[in-house]
Amino acid sequence: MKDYDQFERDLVYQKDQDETFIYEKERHLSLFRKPRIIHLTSNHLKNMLRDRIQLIFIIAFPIIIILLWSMQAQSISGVTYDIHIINNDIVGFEDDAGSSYSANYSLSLLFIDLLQEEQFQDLFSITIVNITDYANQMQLLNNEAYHGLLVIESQFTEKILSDYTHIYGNPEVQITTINDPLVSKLLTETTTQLINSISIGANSGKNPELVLQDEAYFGSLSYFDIFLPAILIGAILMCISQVATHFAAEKENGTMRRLSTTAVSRNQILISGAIAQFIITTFQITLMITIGMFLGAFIHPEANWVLIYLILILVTTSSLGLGLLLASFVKSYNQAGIFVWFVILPLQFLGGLYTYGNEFAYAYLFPTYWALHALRLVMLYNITSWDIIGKDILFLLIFTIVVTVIGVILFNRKTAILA
Amino acid sequence: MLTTILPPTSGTALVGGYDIRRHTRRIRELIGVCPQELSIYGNLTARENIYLIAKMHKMKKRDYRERTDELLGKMGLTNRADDKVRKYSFGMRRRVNVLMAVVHDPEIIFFDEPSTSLDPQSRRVVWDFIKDFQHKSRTIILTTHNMEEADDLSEYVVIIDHGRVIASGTTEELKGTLGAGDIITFKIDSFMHSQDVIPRIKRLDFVDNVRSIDDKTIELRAMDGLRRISEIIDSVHIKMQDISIRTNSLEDVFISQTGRSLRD
Repeated sequence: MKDYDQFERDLVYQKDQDETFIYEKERHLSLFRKPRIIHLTSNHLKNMLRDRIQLIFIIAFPIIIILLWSMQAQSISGVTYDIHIINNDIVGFEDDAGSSYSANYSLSLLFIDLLQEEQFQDLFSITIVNITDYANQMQLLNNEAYHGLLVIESQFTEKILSDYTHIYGNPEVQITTINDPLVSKLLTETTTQLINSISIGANSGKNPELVLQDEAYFGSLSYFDIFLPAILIGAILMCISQVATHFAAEKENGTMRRLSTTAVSRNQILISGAIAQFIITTFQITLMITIGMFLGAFIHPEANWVLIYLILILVTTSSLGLGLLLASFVKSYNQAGIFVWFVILPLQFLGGLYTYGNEFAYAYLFPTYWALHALRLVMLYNITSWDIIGKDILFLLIFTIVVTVIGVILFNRKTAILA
Repeated sequence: MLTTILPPTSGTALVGGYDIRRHTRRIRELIGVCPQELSIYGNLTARENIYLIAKMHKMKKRDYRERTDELLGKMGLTNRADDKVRKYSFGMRRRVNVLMAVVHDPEIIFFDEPSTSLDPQSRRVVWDFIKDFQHKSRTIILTTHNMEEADDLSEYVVIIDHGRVIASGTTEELKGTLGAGDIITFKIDSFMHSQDVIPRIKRLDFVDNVRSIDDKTIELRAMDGLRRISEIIDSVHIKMQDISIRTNSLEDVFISQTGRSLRD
């Protein structure tokens, strides 16, 4: 028995040496051969695309969803909002150096002029009302006789021109709208952007001449434009279902076990499946964006496409991680198909994809909320500043890494296969 | 565990001299596995399914193409090789399942019930295919509940019951453990019961292990049974029917080792 143990130890030692040699040999050889992961990915793609039902889903799903949203948006887009303005900023004042300005220099008038520019004509119909008419205007607004009321404060111009913002504060415009998140959001964002532009022009030392910043586009945003980013994210979430059912099916029909008995590693199997799904989802997103633009959806003409795809890729990757996480727990393809909705629906609805301006109180707990916020700013306004969208992208990135790592670890552990 | 799919809870094992805990990667290069379930991609063709495994083993393109053609021919699948596997009959799929295990010409092949649910023709094709590998000095480990399959294909048999080895040896050695002679089974064609007849048979010195299968059926073991069947008939003094004579089978060994009660 002792001799046999020694023999076994010698044999294992010898095999250890063999293993090292073979590993080194293969490492050199593999440089000249197509990696297994490419073969596996291509195999997964073929298997998916040759399934007629799946192929129909892959192509028809993005087309149908974008067409439906477009049709839905037709009934809403093109609305012109009646906006009333009460301007308290019409008296003369002195600047910090003692120079007198007359009401003619009132920046609020320029602000109103801008709102009446051609580019906003489709969006807002502006009516100036008397400053003494506030109570009556509020009554009319309560009765939804018009859409929104802007009240410009008396020190509007003075505050903009002052170098002592920390003392005087920022110029204020009170915005009141009917209970419609779209008009509220549009009016708020447009007003904010315009005042910022006026401030930049006025503080440059020249006469308060208003020039809109190049990157700030203030076109007429339709319902369809505003929801396009949400539709894209909603469609990407479907890949959670695709991944979960794909890996559940591989577990169920034994193909994953079979591949695990070859020299391919478990992580290569997982990555190849994820890459195949990633390619399909990217195709679907591109198809949706193309059709959306064809149907007239607005995307900022100078929008940063790298950033748009970066956000979409992060959402896709986190969805793949979630799919893997789900596939770890389910025992069959059918179970995966059912349980996946317990993940997708909260992400869609509680994450605020379809509730513009009126989100769930804890929507910020969901990655879709951050993704949507960043994507909307980049797609519609070409806002690329890290200060504004950095937090969104960082949160999304952390979520993606955490979910993917947990998904891979759990999937490997639950299927208990040697490394 | 031997195919490196499951880690052992304790201890280890050597496959081809390699430790299943430490040399997983090397073992996977040595082995081919044909699982019991049909682990095939239904939307790929038979050829593509086989190519996939060959590529995972880093075979050269020319080698795996030639080898696949040869294997498809042996299994009678050449004409349908480029059809999607999901359009195949069950038997054809099972044959593809077998081919995927051997395309890379492994030194050790694991077959898990390779002929389950196959029609007799397909079963014969699969069995002949496996025998062909035996002739090439490959090690084949075959798991089966079909004793005929084990008897026909195996040189060495291990019977495992509830995770424990309860018997092992060559088929002849195992059959020999049941004793020598032929097994004769017959039915009594009269008003008598088997229990009434058994004492008469037991008086014969060349007869052993006489037992009642049911009220009218008796089974016994007899040396040189075929030649001496007439002596048994004479001893019983009644009409007999459905007489069968056979030698020991692995099924007899299995039943004798595991009992007749239902297994989980």
